[in-house]
Amino acid sequence: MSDPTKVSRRLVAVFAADVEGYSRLMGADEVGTLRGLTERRAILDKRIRDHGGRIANTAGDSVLAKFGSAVDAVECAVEAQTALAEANSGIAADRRISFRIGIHVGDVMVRAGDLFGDGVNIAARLQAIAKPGGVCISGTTYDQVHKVLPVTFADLGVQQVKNIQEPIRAYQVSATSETQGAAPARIAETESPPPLPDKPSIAVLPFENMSGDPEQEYFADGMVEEIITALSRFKTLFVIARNSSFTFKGKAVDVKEVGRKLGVRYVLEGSVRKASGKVRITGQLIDALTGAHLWADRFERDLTDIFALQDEVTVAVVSAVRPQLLHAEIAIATRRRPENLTAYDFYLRALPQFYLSTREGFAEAIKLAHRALELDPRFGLIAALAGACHSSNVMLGYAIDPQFERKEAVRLCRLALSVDDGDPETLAFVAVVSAFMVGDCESSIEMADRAVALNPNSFIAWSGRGWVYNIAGQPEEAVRSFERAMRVSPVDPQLHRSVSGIGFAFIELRRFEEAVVAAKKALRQNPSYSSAYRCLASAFAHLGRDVEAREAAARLLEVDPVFTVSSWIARGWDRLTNAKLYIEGLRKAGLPE
Amino acid sequence: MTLVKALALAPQYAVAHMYLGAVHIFTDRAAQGIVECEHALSLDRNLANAHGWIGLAKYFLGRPEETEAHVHEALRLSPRDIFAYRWMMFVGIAKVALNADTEAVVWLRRSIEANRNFPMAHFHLAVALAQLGLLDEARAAAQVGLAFYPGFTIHRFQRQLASNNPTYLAKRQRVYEGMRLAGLPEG
Repeated sequence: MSDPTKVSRRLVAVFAADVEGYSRLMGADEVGTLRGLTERRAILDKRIRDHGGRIANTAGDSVLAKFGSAVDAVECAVEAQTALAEANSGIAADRRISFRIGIHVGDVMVRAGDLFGDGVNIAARLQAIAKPGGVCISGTTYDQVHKVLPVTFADLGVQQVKNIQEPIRAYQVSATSETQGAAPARIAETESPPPLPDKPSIAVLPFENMSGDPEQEYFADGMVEEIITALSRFKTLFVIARNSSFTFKGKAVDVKEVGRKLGVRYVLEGSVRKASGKVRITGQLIDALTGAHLWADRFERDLTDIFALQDEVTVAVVSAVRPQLLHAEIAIATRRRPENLTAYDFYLRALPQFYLSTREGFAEAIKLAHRALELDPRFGLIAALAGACHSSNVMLGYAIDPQFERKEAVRLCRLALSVDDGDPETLAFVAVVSAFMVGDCESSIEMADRAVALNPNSFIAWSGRGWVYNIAGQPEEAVRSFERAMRVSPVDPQLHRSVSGIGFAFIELRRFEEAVVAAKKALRQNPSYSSAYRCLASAFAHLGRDVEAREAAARLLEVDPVFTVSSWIARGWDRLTNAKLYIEGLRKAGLPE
Repeated sequence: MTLVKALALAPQYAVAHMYLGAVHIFTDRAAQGIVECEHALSLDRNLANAHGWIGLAKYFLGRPEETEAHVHEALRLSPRDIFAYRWMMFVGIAKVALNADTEAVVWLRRSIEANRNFPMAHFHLAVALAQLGLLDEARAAAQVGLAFYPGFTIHRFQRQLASNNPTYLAKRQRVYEGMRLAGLPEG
């Protein structure tokens, strides 16, 4: 305190009070108002002292004080307002001297006893929001006091206040019965937009009917409903319900405004046009925060079977939008500062590592998954993802201690199911792990079938189902599943898994040429994916193209140097007899036994 | 019966499950109603209205403190829903049961803001205002409600019991009391 220029920082409860209509009161009766103010200041100052507060600054009618405790500050404000209300009793309404009080908990700068910084400004703004004779506190203050103090709080919602960038959540403290009555009118005006959820959030607006034919209206609306339903089946998405989306029907809207009102990050909008038996549908995905276009596309179809057309467009839109949302979210999570990461952010960061399908990728994904589980032990999907990583470590020959990896895979999958056995993607991961690691084909098939029924637009569900049917010795069904997977997500980052899965099925179906094409496609997607080299080597060997088979075998040994046919069988195929042709091909390609 | 028939034809139709749930909720089977609504939500996670009904069911089960959370779910999924006025009224009614009359006023005013023509919201607002001692405003709200529903009487309202839950019945006393203070006709 001795050095007036010294600035230190403190975390305090800032208490700001002023007199409502002070200038008006002074204009009406200077002497009387000053006397009244002095009396009331005595009341207020005493309460501040009694509750351990310290007055930092006063100017005319305003008082700025700091408290070491939020509870003390709020208690002081409530008591002071009660006492001040008594002092006002019996005075005509226009002569009353009423204080408004604002309280905020924040980090402030202290210089020579006075307070500076954002925290002070916020307290002052809250004070301006408070009613005469009332107390208004910030969300951070509320968090500290609402369970401790026996007073009630009315949520005033998120408030945008002058010169403060971030919106502030404000609560009104209901101190005395006198202050209660007039409060609500103001609250209705200040209803706040909902906050963004911590997963990708989207609203699908009604598509504009540009055909001039009211008949198309039903078609367009029906399709938007289908898209909403299809998107909402992804548990990792937050989708605004139909009734709210449709309140924007036929209105020229500002997408940013829609995003704010509905509390979503992304908005999908589109239009429908019809001409001579053809219908053209456009769609665009917009980041409502920035206004940036993330995706736009156009579909043109014959207008014959309306339902088939709606289904087709829904699949097309969802298959395009869902990966876009995920990519956008992954990009956001990558930029976020590490100390602010949520469990979901860790999941988003784990995904690209998982997609790599490399030893390092899986190791990193497992690490990130564990950090997510520390923050949210009930995050079933990430447990299943980690299980899938351990299982892949075994199957791709990355495991140093396969026994341990097997146990971990099974443990994590059980954990995932115990949290949520109704999430299609969790089910799909668990089904595959269980088929490979435990060999329980019946329950794997049941889970995989359930996954695709729960979400017919999930790539992970269809792709997982394909692998399960491969292992169960039903390659035809596996092919169907993989084809479906590729249709619902044609540019999926995990495409290499599906494509090499379909290659595996083709070999068992003796469709070796198609297996070669699939394996090559998988390698274009991911040139280090050993499963695809195996498939290629086996298929070439069956076709009698020995040179190419041996080359593929050599490439396999580069990415999987410890590969031998017998050790590979021991990874998970030992109890299954459904890979006969595949294994025969591997031996023919000259791979070591 | 029609709902049961609808469900026999389309057992996976979420909306039918939800309305069956609503029927249960209003006929002293709120717990069963919650099960139906939860089932509806497992079929369609976006069925915001089902959250709203569960919120009301909790009030009928004598657990008004849980109503608000369910309504928040509904409002979050569908902030501008055509049924939002009902959900907000449910919270208002629950708040009266919790003696949190100031908060009740806020929710009931929001409800009326969303739909000015629904008489019950005006009557419940009258109750909350009366319990706060704001009798002039309470009477005014009661009159607005009566303009929409001239046949309303306290006696008639007393006979419309959605549940036999003792907590619910006890908490209703405050409502009748508020209605009398607001000058609603006894009937």
